[in-house]
Amino acid sequence: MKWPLLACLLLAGFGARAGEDVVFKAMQDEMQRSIQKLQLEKLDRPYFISYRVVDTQSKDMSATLGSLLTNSENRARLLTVTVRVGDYAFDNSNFLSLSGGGSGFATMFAGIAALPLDDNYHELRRDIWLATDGAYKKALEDISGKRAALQNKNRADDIADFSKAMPVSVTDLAPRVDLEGQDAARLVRETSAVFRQAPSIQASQVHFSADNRLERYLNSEGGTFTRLIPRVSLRITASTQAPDGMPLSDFVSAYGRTLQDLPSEAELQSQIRSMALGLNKLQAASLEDRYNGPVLFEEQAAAEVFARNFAEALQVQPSLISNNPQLEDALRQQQSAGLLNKLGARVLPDFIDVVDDPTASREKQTLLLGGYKVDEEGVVAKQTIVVRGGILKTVLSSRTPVRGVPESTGNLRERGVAASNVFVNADKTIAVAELRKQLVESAVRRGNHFGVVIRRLSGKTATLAYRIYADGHEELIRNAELSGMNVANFKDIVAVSDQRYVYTEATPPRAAPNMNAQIGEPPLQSYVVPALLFDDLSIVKVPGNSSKPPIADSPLLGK
Amino acid sequence: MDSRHAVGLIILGFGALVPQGQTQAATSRVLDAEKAELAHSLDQLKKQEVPPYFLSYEIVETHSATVSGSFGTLTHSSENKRRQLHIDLRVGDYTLDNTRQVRGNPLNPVDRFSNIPMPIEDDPTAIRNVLWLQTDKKYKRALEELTTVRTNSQVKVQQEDNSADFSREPAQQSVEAAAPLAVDRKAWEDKIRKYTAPFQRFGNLYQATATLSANQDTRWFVSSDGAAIQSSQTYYRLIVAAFSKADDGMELPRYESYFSFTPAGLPDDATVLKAVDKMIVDLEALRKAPLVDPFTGPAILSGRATAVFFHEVFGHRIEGHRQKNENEGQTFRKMVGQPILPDFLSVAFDPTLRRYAGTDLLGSYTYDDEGVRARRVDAVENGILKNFLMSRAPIDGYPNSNGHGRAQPGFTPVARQSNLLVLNSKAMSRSQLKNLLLEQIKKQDKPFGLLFDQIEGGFTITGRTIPNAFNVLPIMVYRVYPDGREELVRGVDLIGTPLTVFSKILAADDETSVFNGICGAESGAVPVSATAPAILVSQIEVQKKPKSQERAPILPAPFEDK
Repeated sequence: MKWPLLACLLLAGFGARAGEDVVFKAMQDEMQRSIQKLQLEKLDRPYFISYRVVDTQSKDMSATLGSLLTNSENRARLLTVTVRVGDYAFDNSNFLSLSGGGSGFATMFAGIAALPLDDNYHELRRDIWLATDGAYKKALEDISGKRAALQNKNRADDIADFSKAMPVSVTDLAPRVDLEGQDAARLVRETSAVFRQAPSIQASQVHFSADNRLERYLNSEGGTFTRLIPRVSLRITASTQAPDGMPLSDFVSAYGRTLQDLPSEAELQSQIRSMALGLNKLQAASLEDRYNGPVLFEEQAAAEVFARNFAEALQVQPSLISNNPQLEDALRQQQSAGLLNKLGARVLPDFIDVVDDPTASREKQTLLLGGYKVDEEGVVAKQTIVVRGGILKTVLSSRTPVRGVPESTGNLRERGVAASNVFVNADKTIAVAELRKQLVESAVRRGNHFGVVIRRLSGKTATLAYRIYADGHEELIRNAELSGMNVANFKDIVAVSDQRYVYTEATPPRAAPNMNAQIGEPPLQSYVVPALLFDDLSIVKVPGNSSKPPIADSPLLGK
Repeated sequence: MDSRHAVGLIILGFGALVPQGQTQAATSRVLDAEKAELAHSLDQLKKQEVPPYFLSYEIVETHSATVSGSFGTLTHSSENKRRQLHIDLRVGDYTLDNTRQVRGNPLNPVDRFSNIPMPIEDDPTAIRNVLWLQTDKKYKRALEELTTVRTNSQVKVQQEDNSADFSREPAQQSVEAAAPLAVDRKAWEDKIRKYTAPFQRFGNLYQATATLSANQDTRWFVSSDGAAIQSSQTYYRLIVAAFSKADDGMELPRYESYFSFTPAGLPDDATVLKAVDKMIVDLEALRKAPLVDPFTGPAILSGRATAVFFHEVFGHRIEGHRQKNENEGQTFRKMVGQPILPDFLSVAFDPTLRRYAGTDLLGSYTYDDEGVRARRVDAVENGILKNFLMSRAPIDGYPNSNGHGRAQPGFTPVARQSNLLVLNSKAMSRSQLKNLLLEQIKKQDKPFGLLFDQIEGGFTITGRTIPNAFNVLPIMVYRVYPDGREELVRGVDLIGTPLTVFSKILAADDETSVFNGICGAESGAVPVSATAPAILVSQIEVQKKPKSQERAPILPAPFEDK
């Protein structure tokens, strides 16, 4: 194995000379030894080993009403080892055993270890050695458990456990974000202080975080990557109650690769003011008991409804085998096939395509943040046409195949399958004003007096939803909740807008249950989505009782 | 939390905290903010149909720095500050309020812990806003609790203990200066590398770590009684831990720990490195040591083992609230005035004692977490049980707190231990004690006795539903043969039931050893200490340690693979 490409890029990235990355050398040497020698008695030898070392340097800060709540910095270096025994067609993976087994250093978390922060070659190797040993022993137990579990069963699917991928060497080193600057503390203090002028808000918080993550990856097929992806994020949340006690909340979030990517302070302050104002209006808004009819999603709500209900259904879990029948049943119950059973079928109207594109970096002027050059298994990132002409072409996948998708689409992110930059493209669009007109007309045709437009959505709850009447006037609805919404509703999209909204969010991927726990922050995904007009949806009032508003006045009123 | 409470499992491990007590008048913005919001919220709540009769706020700031290393390398270095809030809001009256135990429902959700982050800066507006909202939530919850409590006391049988729910205590006012945290992290990082470097040479050590940490806890307590207390404590600790494995898979740990109120009180490098060398020698010896089978017979418990033994067996069983809770074993409830120990032993709890036998005591504090001034409690005098450890939850015959209402930040305080002292009025030398052990071995016709030296901690169960046992986890255990020869063995834990073992204590020596640690129970982890002489017990029982089934690594360590 040779690493010439990597070595010269390290030169550029770290100011280190070729071949001097001690961490990489330790990974490489222990890998070589393990592939050559690691074998327990006459049992299977590893056919695949991978090491991933993530160096994280992070800063985390939050404030409320101008005062810091938390302020922490962290540095960590974490190793994840994957050992596979058997072969590509049948190996130890996709198996879940209840016997977590033993105590001490080889347990359920076999294969994960915190490494020294110092570049000490011998001690790095000691930890990699012990983690590999633990992962190998667990792999042996798993494959024998899996063989035993399958002895008396006919396998429903005969899908390979691991797909082949072309090994590549990739280096992608972005400049580090400066974590030392004092700006973060000032930023969270000053922005959160805006809420001091909003006594009707019961609780509020501004949360800033920034991290530099340097990842090193190496597998026994010869694939390697080294990348540094910085990230900054800001999240502002506020909550209060309506006079009847119903909880109301809203948030603003922003992500970027550098501090400059975040909105300016003046802009943030004005966003906070309008958020507070929005919540005030919501307190006074009326409720919608029940509405059935056309619904138009605009702006953030269009992206959110698509992300939660459609994009998440593109993440499919492989089916797992277990040596415990109850566990296997429970897994089957809980497992969602997502859109897998719709491969080749219509999932959207015929004028819509969906593309996942980790290689894209901008939509017009707006940054897209879901991109990467190579995924977490070293698979080269590429554009994937997910839906063409309304027909589902593929789901997103990793090197663990699922039925009908034998190869990786390069979407393994933080130990689970997740989208990157998702584009909803349409070859038949109309202006937003026209969409609103269509909405109302269609609603009236069905005997409603108004149509419903949703502009901000959080999961199922619309924090900004309006009744829109034939004369164009709008009325705010408090906490409208989408009822019974699912991926099947997307076939009934009747029209989309010519303008598209760009929205970035961090969502944890749907990790396979046998994967080691997620490490670090959930990955970012960017969505480029037009306004979506659905033919028929249900909206209800948030169910359940709510606690009464506080008895005493807010101390912010200064009485 | 609930499950732990239900079983009453109590754990003692390494760790520590201690007050830094120079009292100094100063103003406190945090106390002022607490007072202002207490007045404001209470003013409005008093107008309600069921008004609160008591309200207190405790904000605890934990400022900590931690540096860890492994095998000569740095693995972690950080500094952190946070503040947490605990609110005690009571409706009803002192006799019967919302905090009373609801009987017959083990799953009754008890509000033991609340994770409410407070601003870490002193701005009153931000502090008050959180207090206001949380007070309201707590009030609404208290109303629900009171309804349940009232119904419960009607439908269930008469309670055995008819004491009130809350005691009246003098309102204290005190402002201690905040003790600054003194940490040079760069220097600490070098120390940690140095302390763990000697372990590097060994491929059969699978973990060898050291952690230096500094903690400053500052507490701000105000109550509707008029209490206003700012107290501040710092402590510094160093823990070195390493483990190896025997060929049969048994994991063999070895720990060393040091505590002090000041960084200067920690040992110097030479002392630590000497201890590290001893750890390496001990681990090598343990790997080769024979296993002991379950056994009963006479034994000596070293001072540290005795200290942990008393903490588990006795200390937890005289915590006041356990005498009232009808799920608890209440071992000593009816034994006040009766002998429970040999007449040469006395037991005291003294949070006002800061140093003993040349060691800082980590169960020291000036005020407890209910605003009550710390004081010494003589629990056993010349073998006779005299008193219980009391929080503000009274029990029959004990209507007041004796300053032992303690909690981890964010938890609801209950009666907990402070500095436990086992005092011996009939001291003898260690060699005399060993001679007595040899006599016992011959008298009982046993092939050997046991000596428990180093220990890592212990735990006990005080509930009624499962046997009321204790367990002390020894690391270095020796077989003592009738000829006096000592042989290191491994693989056993010391177990027993409290009253039986107490009745079998024969003698104690003239040494005093201090065990500083963190004790975990239903009010969270609190720093404690226990100090004791070595004791001779005529009969103890040991059981097999749980054992790892993992075999040693397949390949040799990389640097040993030639």
